[in-house]
Amino acid sequence: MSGILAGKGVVVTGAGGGLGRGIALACASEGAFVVVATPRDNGAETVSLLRAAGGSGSWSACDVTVRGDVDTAIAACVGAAGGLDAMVHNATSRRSSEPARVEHVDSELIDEHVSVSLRGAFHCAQAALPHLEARSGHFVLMTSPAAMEGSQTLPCYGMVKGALRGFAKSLAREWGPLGINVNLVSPLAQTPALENAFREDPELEPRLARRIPMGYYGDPTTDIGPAVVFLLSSSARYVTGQTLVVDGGRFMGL
Amino acid sequence: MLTDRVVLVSGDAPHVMRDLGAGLSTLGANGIVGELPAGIGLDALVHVVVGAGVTQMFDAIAEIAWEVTAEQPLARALLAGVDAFEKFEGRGGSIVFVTSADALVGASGNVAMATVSEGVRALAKSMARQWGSFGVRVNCVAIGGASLEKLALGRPPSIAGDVAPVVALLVDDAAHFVTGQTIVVDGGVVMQP
Repeated sequence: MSGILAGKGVVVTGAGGGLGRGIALACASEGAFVVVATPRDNGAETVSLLRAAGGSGSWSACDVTVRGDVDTAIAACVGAAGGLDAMVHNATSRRSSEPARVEHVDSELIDEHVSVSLRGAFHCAQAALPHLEARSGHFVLMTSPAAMEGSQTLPCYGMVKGALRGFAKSLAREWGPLGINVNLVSPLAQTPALENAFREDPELEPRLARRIPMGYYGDPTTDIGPAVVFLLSSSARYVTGQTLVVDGGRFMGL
Repeated sequence: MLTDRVVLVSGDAPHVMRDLGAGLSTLGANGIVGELPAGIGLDALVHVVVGAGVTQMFDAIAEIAWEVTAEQPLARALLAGVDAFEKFEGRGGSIVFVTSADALVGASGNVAMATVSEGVRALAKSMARQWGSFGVRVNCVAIGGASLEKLALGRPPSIAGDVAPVVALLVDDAAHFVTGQTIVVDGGVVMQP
């Protein structure tokens, strides 16, 4: 398939549904070979969808908290596409949309968030580095408004998403000389995680909708995906250490 | 300014904690470094997450070092904040996290430190939102200023003399309407957009 990512190999973590699936579909529609890295076989569904749309990719069973799984996903990409051009760390804890009072947070919940978001980022970045360096590649991590303005309901989620901003900006400084750019995307999309948050807190949807200048929640594939594609493309080669906010104008505080 | 206020100084950088404790005591507070003795009510927590790290490029960080320098300090900061919230016993209080100015703009050779620092800054904002109705304010002071050539104020920072007074301001009632904020105290290196 032709497109601005034609011939490129991309790994997307947490692409079994929602935002990650949208990113995977958008990358495939621009010609990338996409490795859908997910622990469960919903990753295979994502692959079916992207193939049905004319794209190419494969599912790699991958728990990002396990370094060997991340290595396997990258090896699958290198095997099929000849290399790894871009890595998107999108995976978050299964409990990421579970509302919590910070005074009731226990070590187990902290560890859930930290292991998938931060240990996962650590594994993805270390495993991807030699491959990305070889191809002047791109590394994108997903962050959140909760990282930038705090959250009334999701303190641990906001904490790790904020941590990823410090992580990415610092990596961007270290990897710039290697020709690798590192950026963040802060999306607002209609996803299963958001729908879940709306069910938990019925006040949330009208409260949020009023604050979106564009007036609607983004679609993972057609609204968020293309912004990620841009950051994975050579068009963005001089952009690094940035947070691209793709949220219909909901957050303008940067 | 802080006469007899009990301010607990905790965290991961002993020399920064010591100097902050001394600076706060100079300003009239009862600055206690380390652990709060039993039977004493707490008015404020100052938790330091930066200042102890060593510079290391990311690709050389071992998994265990990542756990110790990135993941554990983040968890400790959260639990320290919760512990203070409980020790305020509904009387309200102030929490100040001492974070890194360099982390705001990315810190080469300090990925783990920047990860902790920016994670704590996000956490502080969520705490501020959730605990405002309990009279608990949560702010950050981002310290730095190690690179002399970029210092607008032209001299290296002193923790006790330059940082402690700003921490004290955030603890003091003068800042009673200030929460969820970060004040950069680095002599004018980092200037946020």
